[in-house]
Formats: sequence, C-alpha cells, structure tokens
Amino acid sequence: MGSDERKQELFGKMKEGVIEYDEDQVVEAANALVDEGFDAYEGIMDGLAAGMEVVGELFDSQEYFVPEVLMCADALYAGLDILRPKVDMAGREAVKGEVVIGVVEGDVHDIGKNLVKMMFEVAGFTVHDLGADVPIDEFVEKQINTNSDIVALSAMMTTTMMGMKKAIVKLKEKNPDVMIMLGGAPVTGEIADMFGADGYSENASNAVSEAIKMVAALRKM
Amino acid sequence: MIEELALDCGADVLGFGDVSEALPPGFAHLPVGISVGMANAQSPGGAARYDHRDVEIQSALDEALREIAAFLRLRGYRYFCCPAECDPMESPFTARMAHRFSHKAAATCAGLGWVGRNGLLIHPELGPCVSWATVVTNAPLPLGDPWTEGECRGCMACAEACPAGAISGKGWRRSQGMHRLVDADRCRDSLDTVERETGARVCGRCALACAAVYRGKGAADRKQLALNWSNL
Ligand code: B12
Ligand code: SF4
Ligand code: SF4
Repeated sequence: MGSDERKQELFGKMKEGVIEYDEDQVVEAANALVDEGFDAYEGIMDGLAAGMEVVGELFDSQEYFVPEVLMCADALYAGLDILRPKVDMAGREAVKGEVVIGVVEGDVHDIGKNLVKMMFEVAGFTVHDLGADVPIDEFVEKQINTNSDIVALSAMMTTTMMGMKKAIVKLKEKNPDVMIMLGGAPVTGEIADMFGADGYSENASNAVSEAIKMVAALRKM
Repeated sequence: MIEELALDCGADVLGFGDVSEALPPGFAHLPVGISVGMANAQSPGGAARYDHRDVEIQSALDEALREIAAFLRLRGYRYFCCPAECDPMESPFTARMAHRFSHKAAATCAGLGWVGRNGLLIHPELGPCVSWATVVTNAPLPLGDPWTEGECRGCMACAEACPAGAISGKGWRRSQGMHRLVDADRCRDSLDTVERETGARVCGRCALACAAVYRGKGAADRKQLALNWSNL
C-alpha cells in the first residue's frame, strides 16, 4: 500500500471514529498515524475536524442531538490529546490568531463555550479562556493585554446581556478590527446587530451547532 | 443478557425504566434509563462518615457503563453514559452533562427504590449506601414498575442526624418532579466545614442514620422493615 493511501486510510478512520463517537477507533488511528510518522496537524484537520464537520451536518438535519454531539466531541478530544503534542510547529505559520473567550453569567452555556474553545484550538488559535461568570470588564482588559483578534462572549441572562453592548463599544473603540461573537439564550440576531457584534448563535443547542460550523470556516482560514 | 453483563462487572442492582419525564433538554430520543447500582463496601455500622466515592466502586461502575455501551453499540442502538461521578478534565464534554442527570430519578423510574426524606435513593434491600450510575438509550428494554412515593412512614432518623439541619422531613412524591427535599446550600456549607477540618469533603450522616435502620437485618427482614416503618 502506498504511503499516501495509508495516510488517507488513517484520516478516514479518525473521521469515521469522530462521527460514530467511537473513541477507541480514533485513539487507535491517531496512535498509528504518529507511529508511522505522518503529519499530526494534517491528521487533526483532515481527520478529526473533518469528522466534526459531518457531525455538524447530522446535528442540523436532526439525525444527531446534543448527547451524540457531546460524545463525538469527546472522541475528537481523545484524538487531539495524542496528536496535539506531535504537531510540528517549525515551518508552519506559528499561530493563526488569538481569541478571548468566556461566559458572562451562568454555567449552562459552558459546554457550548468549551466546544467553541476546542475548535479554535484545533484550528491553531491561541485561546485565552476566562471561564464562566466573567465580569464584562475582564473581557475588555484581556483583549487589550493580548491584542486578540476575536472576542467570543456568551450570556445567559437578559440583565447581563445589556452589559455586552458597553463591552462591544469599548472593544471596538480600542480596536475597530476586533471581531466579536455573541452567544447565549437571550441573544437574538437583531440584538447582536443592534449591539454591533459580528456573529451570534441563537440558543444553547444552536451554540453547539454554531461551534461546529466554525470548524468549516476555520479550516479554510 | 445485558443484566448478566452488568452483574459480571460487579453491579449489585440493575433495572430499566421510562425516564422520559426526567430527561434534560436534547435527550428526548433516549427515553429508556438503565440504572446501575453498586453497594458500598464500607460498613455503615461504626463509621462516622459515609464516603460514596470509593475508588474501586467508581471504576467498577465506569466499567459497567462501558460494557453496557458496547453492548448497545453492537446492536445499533443510541446511548449516552452518565457516570456516577466525573472528572471534567478527563472527559470534557460528556462528563459535564452527568451532573445534570439525576441518577436517583433513573432508579425510581426503573423501580429499584424510592427517595427517602434524606433525598437519597433507598433500595428496599440494600438501603441508602449504594452508588448509582445511568445509561440512557433508545433500546426497547423490559421496563420496570416505577416507584412513585417514599416509604419512610414514621421514621425521621436522617433529619435528626443531619448536623446542618438540611433535611426538612418532607416525604417524596414523584408527582412533585425535580422538587428538592434537602437544603443543598446548608448541606454544602456543612461539607465545606468538614473539608476545612478534616481535608475530606465527606459527611453522609443522613445515609448512615438510614443504614442503621437496616443494621443486622437480613435482606428479607429489611424488606419487611421497609413496609413496617410506621412502627418506628
Ligand atoms: C449535586 C449533587 C450533590 C449536591 C446537592 C445535592 C442536593 N440535594 O441537591 C451536594 C454537594 C449537596 C450533595 C451532597 C450529597 N450527595 Co450528592 N450528588 C449530586 C449529584 C451530582 C446531582 C444531584 C442533583 O442535584 N440532581 C438534580 C436534582 C433536582 O435531582 P435530585 O436531587 O438528584 O433528585 C430528585 C429527582 O431524582 C426526583 N425524582 C425521583 N424520581 C423521579 C422521577 C421523575 C419522573 C422525576 C421527574 C423526578 C424524580 O426526586 C429527587 C429528590 O427530590 C448526584 C449525582 C447525579 N448525577 O445524580 C449526587 C448524588 C445524589 N449524591 C450522592 C450522595 C451519596 C451524597 C452525599 C451523601 C455525599 C457524602 N457522602 O457526603 C450528600 C447527601 C446530601 C443529601 N442528603 O442529599 C449519591 C446518592 C446515592 C443515593 N443512594 O441516593 C448520588 C446519586 C451520587 C452517586 N453517583 O451515587 N450532592
Ligand atoms: S450529607 Fe451531612 S449535611 Fe448533607 S444532608 Fe446528609 S447529613 Fe446533612
Ligand atoms: S432515615 Fe428514615 S426517614 Fe430518613 S430516609 Fe431513611 S427511612 Fe426515611
């Protein structure tokens, strides 16, 4: 078997393992990939992330629901654990950018936030995770200190959501090019527009779907 | 067959129930709960505290869930494992969900026991000192008869034993849904204190007091006892 053929076979196994939430299959293929000296970064993008993209489609078509997506994410993570330390940074554009991420209030949104975070990491971004229950000012501060390109905020309560508008104004003031993503239960497209944000996701489960869709976008970047 | 599987890996109790009314959002397509219980080995007798997170029991429960999952996967059914306890670092996504799924609800739905005044799941033979884990699935399994009411009768031992006064003494009814019987804040504060003093975040006096009701009785007696608690 040609080496390229073998590589594609292993990518396919990882992709399928993520889609079928089969952690064992992902781990086995990822280990083989490393042992046989194939490129770990390609494995992450064309194996693991490619699988998650299909998961996003299955979620949209209501073939998969939240539990399946979570299991797929765990399978992806298991592969990532093996491949990430092997990524050869030399000769590769070091980082694609920096992101500040956090939940403004409430913990229900944590899963969505963590999924978005993982996807950014997969795509080679440096992620500054502020965790949950984060005061708005901390986002602004962190963005300024790190000069991050993207700020991803989620809020679970209407009251704290109003604080977001201030944050966006402040952030845009300091850096008109910063990209701001909003998510969380009370956030609608109109509100996001009104606040001047660049992207939003409708509700908790859509945040999951949005997060997955981001892989597709990120892979092209 | 699935029963054998779980018992093979050391589970003491196993049952299937309709958990559709107790599921978190996004789980409606997995309406059957497989409830797995493992009795804790430590003797409730002389102990001052009850730790339900015995390492061996936890890993045995995890193993039981893995076996059940493999069994369901092989037959083409959907499933989701809710571990007894979980380390969010180890399994970052599924584990986060486990805290939102009530193992006790799965057990009452499967007919494995009722919820006592102490808010704990009381198995009619093994009592409260059982650790629980759950798998939810779409597999058509033979469903148990759900328990819908507590059987504490005249007993109040746990409420008297709780150092935090966290147990109001109200009885459980399934019709009250996810209604909490125990003041979780008071319990947490008390656990914080214990942790500061001893280094271990363990209390469980509510479980011990209840287990004491069973002490020295054979399984058959326990069943009888459960029915006669009005005499206590
Ligand atoms: C968060 C948590 C805590 C918190 C809050 C507890 C509380 N009372 O709310 C704190 C830290 C205080 C705590 C303490 C303890 N905990 Co705790 N805890 C949990 C955890 C992770 C989630 C429980 C939860 O909040 N669920 C949501 C609420 C709304 O539901 P619930 O309280 O579980 O149960 C209600 C429903 O099940 C409902 N119900 C029952 N049947 C049905 C059916 C239907 C259809 C519906 C709709 C509802 C319904 O009735 C129950 C009572 O109101 C579970 C593990 C798990 N994932 O289930 C362990 C768990 C409940 N804890 C357990 C134990 C042992 C303890 C301690 C003894 C710890 C110790 N050793 O010191 C104490 C005891 C406190 C007490 N008396 O309740 C065991 C109980 C085992 C048993 N035999 O019941 C569990 C199941 C862990 C396990 N894997 O075995 N715990
Ligand atoms: S664990 Fe301790 S503090 Fe909490 S309810 Fe039971 S007896 Fe009370
Ligand atoms: S100690 Fe008594 S009142 Fe408390 S749960 Fe057990 S049987 Fe019920």
